[in-house]
Amino acid sequence: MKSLDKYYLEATDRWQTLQTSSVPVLYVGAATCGRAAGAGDVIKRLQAEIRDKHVDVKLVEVGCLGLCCFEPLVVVHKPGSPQVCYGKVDPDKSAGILERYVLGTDPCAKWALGTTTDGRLDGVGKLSEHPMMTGQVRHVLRNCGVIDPKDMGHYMARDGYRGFLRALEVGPDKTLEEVKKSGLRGRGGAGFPTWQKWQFCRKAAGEPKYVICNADEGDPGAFMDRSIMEGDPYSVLEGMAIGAFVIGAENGYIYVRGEYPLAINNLSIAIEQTRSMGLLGDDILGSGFSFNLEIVKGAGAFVCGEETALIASVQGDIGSPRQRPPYPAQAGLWGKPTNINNVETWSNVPAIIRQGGDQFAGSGTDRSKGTKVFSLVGKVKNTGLVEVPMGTTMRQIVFDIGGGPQKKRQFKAVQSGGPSGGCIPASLLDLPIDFDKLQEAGAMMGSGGLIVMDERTCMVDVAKYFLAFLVDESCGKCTACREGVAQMHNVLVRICEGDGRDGDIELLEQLGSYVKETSLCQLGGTAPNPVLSTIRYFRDEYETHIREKKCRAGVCKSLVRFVIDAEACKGCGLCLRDCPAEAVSGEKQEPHQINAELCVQCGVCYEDCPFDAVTVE
Amino acid sequence: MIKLTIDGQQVEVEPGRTILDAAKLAGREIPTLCHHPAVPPAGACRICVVEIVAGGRPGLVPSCAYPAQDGMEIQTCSERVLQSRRMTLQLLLARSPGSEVIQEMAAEHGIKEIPFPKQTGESGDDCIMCGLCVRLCQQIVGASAICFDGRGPDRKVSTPYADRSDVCLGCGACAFVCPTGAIDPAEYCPNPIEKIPNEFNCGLDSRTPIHLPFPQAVPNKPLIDRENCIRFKTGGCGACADICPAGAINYDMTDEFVEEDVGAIIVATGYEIMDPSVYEEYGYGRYPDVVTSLEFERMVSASGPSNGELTRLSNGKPPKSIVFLQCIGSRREKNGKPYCSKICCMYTAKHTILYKHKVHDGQAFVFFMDVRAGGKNYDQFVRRVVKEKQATYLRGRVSKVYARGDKLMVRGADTLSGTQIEIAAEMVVLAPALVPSSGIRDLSQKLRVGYDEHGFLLEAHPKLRPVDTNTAGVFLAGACHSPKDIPESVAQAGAAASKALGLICHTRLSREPTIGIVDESSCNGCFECEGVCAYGAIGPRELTDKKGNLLATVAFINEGLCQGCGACAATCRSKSIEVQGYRDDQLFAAINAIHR
Amino acid sequence: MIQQASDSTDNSKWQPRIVAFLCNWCSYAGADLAGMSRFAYPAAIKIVRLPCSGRVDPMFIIKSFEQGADLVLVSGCHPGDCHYTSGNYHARRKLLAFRELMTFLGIDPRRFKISWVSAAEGAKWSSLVKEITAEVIALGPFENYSKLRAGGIAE
Repeated sequence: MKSLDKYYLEATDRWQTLQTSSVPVLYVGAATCGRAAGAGDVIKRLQAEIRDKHVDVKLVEVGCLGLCCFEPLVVVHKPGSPQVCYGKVDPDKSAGILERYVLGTDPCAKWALGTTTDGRLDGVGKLSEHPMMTGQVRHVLRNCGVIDPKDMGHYMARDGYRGFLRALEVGPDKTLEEVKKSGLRGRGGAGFPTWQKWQFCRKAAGEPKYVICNADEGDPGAFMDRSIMEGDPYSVLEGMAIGAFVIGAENGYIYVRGEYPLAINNLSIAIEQTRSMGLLGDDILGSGFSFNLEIVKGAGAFVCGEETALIASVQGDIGSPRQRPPYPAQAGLWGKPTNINNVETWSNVPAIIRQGGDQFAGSGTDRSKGTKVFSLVGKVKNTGLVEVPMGTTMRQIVFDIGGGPQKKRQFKAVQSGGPSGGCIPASLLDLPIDFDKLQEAGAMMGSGGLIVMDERTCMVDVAKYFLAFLVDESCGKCTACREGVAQMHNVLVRICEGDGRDGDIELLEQLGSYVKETSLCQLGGTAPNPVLSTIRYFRDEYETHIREKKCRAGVCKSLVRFVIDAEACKGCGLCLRDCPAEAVSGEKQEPHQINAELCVQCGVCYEDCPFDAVTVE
Repeated sequence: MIKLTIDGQQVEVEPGRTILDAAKLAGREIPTLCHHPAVPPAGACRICVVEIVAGGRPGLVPSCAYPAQDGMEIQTCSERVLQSRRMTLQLLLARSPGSEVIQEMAAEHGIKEIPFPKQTGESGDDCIMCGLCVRLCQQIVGASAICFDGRGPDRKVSTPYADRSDVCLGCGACAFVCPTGAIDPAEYCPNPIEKIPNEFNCGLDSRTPIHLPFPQAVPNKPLIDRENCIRFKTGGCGACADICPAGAINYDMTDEFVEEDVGAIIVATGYEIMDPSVYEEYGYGRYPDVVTSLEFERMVSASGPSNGELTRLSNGKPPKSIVFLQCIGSRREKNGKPYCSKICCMYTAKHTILYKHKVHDGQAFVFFMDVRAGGKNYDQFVRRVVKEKQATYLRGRVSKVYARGDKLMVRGADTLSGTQIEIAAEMVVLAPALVPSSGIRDLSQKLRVGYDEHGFLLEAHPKLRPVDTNTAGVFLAGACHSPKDIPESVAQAGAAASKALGLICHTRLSREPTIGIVDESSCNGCFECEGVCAYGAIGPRELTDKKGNLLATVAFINEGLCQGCGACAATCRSKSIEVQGYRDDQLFAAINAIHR
Repeated sequence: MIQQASDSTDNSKWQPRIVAFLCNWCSYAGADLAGMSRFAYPAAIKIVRLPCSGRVDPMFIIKSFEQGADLVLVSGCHPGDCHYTSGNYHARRKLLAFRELMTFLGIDPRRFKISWVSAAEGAKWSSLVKEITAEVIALGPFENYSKLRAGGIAE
């Protein structure tokens, strides 16, 4: 304990020193999203500049702030000035910022997104007042993009492991009581009360018991868990340690998909550091409680996000789910009681224990407490990670935080919950988001993916896209999912190709409800959701596809004919230049035409036209 | 016990049982495909879904894999269940349109057409991906020779790395359990699949390692063949014990020696037929359509390998012409048995009738040496066969059987017309010589019963004591003694039984008087005699005077044990043992008498 | 006795005399079968029936020669087939040792035969007797003990 206290002091001191550093510090968002946008090159360039210029500037790689559409992000700490966050930084810009602001006086306000600490800087607003940040409440993401995820000291300085220490102090019963008070529900999708899950496992007969972190984030367009693991891995480890302490488990596994190498790397480092601190391992801090953690890499099967399939995969078997009961809490890993929670759930736990369940329960709705992290993507201006209290409306997220659809297009729907979720139409935009409300609307919370669609999205095509994904990802074990989803996909393909028949919608509904109630696991149990919810809210689009053989959104190639509105066309020639089939003709400044026989319906002209003169007939 | 309601009917089951088990108890039929009582359930095919109405999470669940719970209320054929089942069948039919099992099930559920495209091409096979074979191979057989490859609609049953692996035992259990008959173990096994020949059907079909030896066996109970049983081969499986409701299967049972004290023994070990492949001219073993009379007997039997349908082993078609060859090895001095096998004439005549019964327009020929139909009504029977033209009888022998096309050419002599004959037959039936059961020599030496050069056991006297042997208490019945037909065997068995009863029904045993006696006055107690006595009849006896002082220890012969062989008498140096009736002086007198 | 002795010296009138000790169960039954099957064989052989070949005491053989036998045969069950389990083995061991001592007794060992004939071997018995009769005719009469007989010692 003494050495731990000393470490807290030392870490806090180090953190404070960094915050009030007398030399400039550059924080670069180096999570996967940042790297994909070019953060690696920015770091290299900055390192070279710092070396060449012989200046005393510190460079710290941090996680993701969540402002993904503005990546790469660089936050500059200049002694005596408030910290400034810059967005869309390329190597040249980074050199410019170093030269002009860090070493000079020009804050480069046009590149700045806002200040992240108190104090004023000319021409730069507060980041918290940035439209994408207002309305957000950062609990889970509080460390992401702020601390160095490879330095445990940063986490410890920000009250790291205080929750775990408190749990050790008050004992498992009171700890469980706090979780119950908090009303925390599983963030993986189904929203099962976490305390209840823990209690089942805790009471289950059988030794040893296991805890597992489900980090097999497979939904297309979802990356909350990845960002947490990359930006704040310690919170996951601490949450698991608390859970294991309550349940009485001595071993834990983190099942991460192999596609997340950076998350695996950061988690591995975090486990190593935590172990060397004596917060993992045998007889932790002399409490008698032992806990060991291991990372298991998944091979990227969507179905392995399902509990029983995940367990099978950890055991080295084929990742196929099995019929429940018995539930994992009774007979899970190696046939022993096992508790599985999602990354975000675990990550929520330390703060609940540290600050008490009541504080957590203070935000959110009646039956859904706390905050939820969403990954906002699709045809929306501001994409990225968004953490809002439960009960926030879809409109707030899409329009206030997300800035609404791009190019002033008409909003059409939000797909919530990934392939297992459903589409929420504009009419339900004012729905307060929580587990139950989404379920009622035919969608689901899922892990928190939100895909925004506008008028140019074909809902039949969306359903087809998700089903194609699910056909590929179905494990193939049960007839309902393997054959049923494939046949639903077949029907959707035929509708999109203009071969739809009367009765196809009813057939889809019939198949959909069959697959839903007959499938073995929740992959099949939710697979028809994209189809059923789009039929529910956009039945007319299906009917147009089947009866009129038309796709108004201009997506289903067989059902689209592009024409140029002669009145709107200004004869700019963009479409003429880009058409791969040379189907567009027309003189400059004159209205252009599309030769329907040559047109391959690629839609390039439709996308290109700055005057929206290309229309779908 | 767990109480639940199935279709309104109360059932009680043990904890751990599934809804399917409970439904069976309630007498409710639930269709299954991927379920096998010996294999842990998977709930993969979803055909067995039932509806939980109350007492559990309401909804459809697979009855084969869902544990019965207290207070559950189950509907096995609600509209919701039937709708789901119909859809499952439609989907399976789209996948495996050619599978008869699925077609039948679909028809039973009133499915006439499927509203979506049939899967054709590679995946459009009979395999419905239920995975029963894979589970069986991994969890029961313990070989893990087959597995799934790929996922979703591309899933297929394959081997690890699509390689034939030596871990495959070639047991064929996968094909045995496959509900649609879609799996061929030969596709996976690197070694030829060796089926276990069914001994009772002369190896014409196969059997499982656990099997009934033959219909109406006594006792009529299955036995496990350790050589082939996977449990004994790999330590896995154990499926039969799992599913036996009586818990009657015990793998620890071993063969044991049973010792019984008996007063009489009847030897009735029967006969075998000799292997006719030693006579190459008949082509047995070379041509599949050359069969023995015993094989023919099984082929036409209703409980035989083809359920009584007579078909050629070469092409599965009924033989339109058939030739019966008698005396194969019998009455053959050179390379054969000099004796007549006695039963062949009659059973061949019967076989010709059975043949005509199976193949109405077929033609039968019989090559014979003599028709020996001695016995009550026997000759009339054979004459009827000839007269009714069931078969053409040809007196003569066959020199060669050879193949031409898909026919067997039988070349022989008809000695009555003095011509050479060649018949194009589709099947040839040989009547091989009868020989005693193998192992008869070991048995006869144990029983001290004599046997002839062919191994047939010797009676005590050919005319006067035909059922006895020279060993008291051992009697003979049936073909262990000589080739016999059924009435003769039954008669001899009856005689042997009454002889045995005659022996053991007495309270006292009479014995021969010719046993050894010790002259105690001259015996010096060397006990050489004790070593040569095969019956342990000789032991020591202490002679004492009236005061009880030990005078001498001499040999003593137990009258009950002594058989009177005289080995002791010939061994005794002091000439102190004599065999009554064969005393030295008697024998010397006999020797002297010869020379008088 | 004297008459017999003088007879035996007269080769023209000499008829061989063979004494055979047969066990009751095999060889005697075999001989019986030969008779029953009407297999003819020389009448020179005279049979003494014993329970077992194991009953044969070498003294019986010597006595036979002394009494004027030209050849002695002991026949029992085939090895393994003895009615008394092992009597024929005892006989074989004892009588083969005895044959080694026959020269010492002044008897040509070729005049002593051991054979195994089973109850089923009537034909074998017949050919065996023919064979040894031919052999003893080739050997001629056994006269070494004729003086003993003349002196009447044996009686």
